[in-house]
Amino acid sequence: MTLVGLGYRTPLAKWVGTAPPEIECLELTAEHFFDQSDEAILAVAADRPVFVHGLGLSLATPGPLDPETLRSFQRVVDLSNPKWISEHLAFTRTAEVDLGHLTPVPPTREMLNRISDNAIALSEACNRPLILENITSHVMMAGEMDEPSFLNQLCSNAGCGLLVDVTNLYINSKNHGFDPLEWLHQLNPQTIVQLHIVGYSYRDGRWHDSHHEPIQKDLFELCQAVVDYAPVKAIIIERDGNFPDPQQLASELRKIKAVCNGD
Amino acid sequence: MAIDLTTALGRLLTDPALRSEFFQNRAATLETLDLDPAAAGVLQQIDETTFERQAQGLIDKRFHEVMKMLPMTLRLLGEDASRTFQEYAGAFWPDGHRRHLIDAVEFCRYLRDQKRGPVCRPEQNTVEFRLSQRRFRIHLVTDYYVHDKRRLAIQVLTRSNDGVPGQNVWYLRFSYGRSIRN
Repeated sequence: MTLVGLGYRTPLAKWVGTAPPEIECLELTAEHFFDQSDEAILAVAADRPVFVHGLGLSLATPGPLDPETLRSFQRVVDLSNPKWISEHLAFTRTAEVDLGHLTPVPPTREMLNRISDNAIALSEACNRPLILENITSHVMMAGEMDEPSFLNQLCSNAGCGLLVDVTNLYINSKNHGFDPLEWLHQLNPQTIVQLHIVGYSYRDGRWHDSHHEPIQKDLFELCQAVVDYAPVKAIIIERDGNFPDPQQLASELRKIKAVCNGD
Repeated sequence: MAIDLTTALGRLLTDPALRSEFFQNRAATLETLDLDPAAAGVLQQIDETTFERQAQGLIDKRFHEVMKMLPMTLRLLGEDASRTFQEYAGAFWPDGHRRHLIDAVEFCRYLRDQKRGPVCRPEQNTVEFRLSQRRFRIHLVTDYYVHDKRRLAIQVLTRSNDGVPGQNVWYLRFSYGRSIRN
């Protein structure tokens, strides 16, 4: 069965607390809980399956993972007891600066080895399976292989899975001009564990992952294609702002559930 | 000393002058960056337009986050808000999981030190409180805005046992000074 749920955000806390049946699982963004008490984390993680999602571990940065960020991440994992953890296929910091934003990496062998090493280190430190997420980016970096081959090789080397962000895939396919289904069908379907989905925005002739919009029809269709292709275990709506009435989110969750059930 | 590809990308994304120099003469800039050949090969192929967009995206993201915490301060800056933030943001990059709060506090400091515009004090108090470990703070403020009208107010900031910050404000019913107009 595919679980359907939400990325937990403070403005949604009241609704989540009423235990609506549409929310079958929650994704906790680890950084949002770094400054919160043990009790607060335990309370949010009670009652439903949870997954812990990282933003700032910067797996593509050379050298060991930042020890302070890793310790804080581990604490959230230990308290919330997630089924798996996730991070992005990106870097957010360099040896000199914290960019604060997911920045793409070229699909090279050197990058493959570096991310594999850091992914294994993260998974072992947290004692949980790790899945890695595709990001959106304005710039595309050339490498020694295409992105799906890079992802397949990474999963094989690091023993990790994939979190396919359907919206990011859609946006990249539009902005960079490729077929998202062709991209998808090059992935090993057995590696795809979880999906993210949220509406995109369009301005200045480009598509953006603003995380502020309702999910559009073409995204539901792409989500259906992924679910048909791979044994997806969970789908998370990743809304970060412009929060709608809970009933609208509940309706989106039901639509995704219908996609999973093939209705 | 040789640097890795992410460090080179970080420098190029955060330094407009270096970026401009790089796109005018890639080979010369790559030589000064002292990259290994594979990393240099990646940078040689980067598209200028989309890379500029990527760099601007970093600043836009920070501006968007700061706007959520300092909406009135940015409204008081008016049409200059975005440009003023860009000037500030190019010279300072906050670090860590509290970077957006640090960014907001530092932007307030920049506005005050550089005399670039007014800072809405209750907003600054709130972000400074969130950044601190304090359980309680009380402020008398003269620029609390209600329906775009400036009022005298007492701002009480608290933090729950779970670490969640909260705020209560008591303000006088009469307003004074200029109202904000869009």
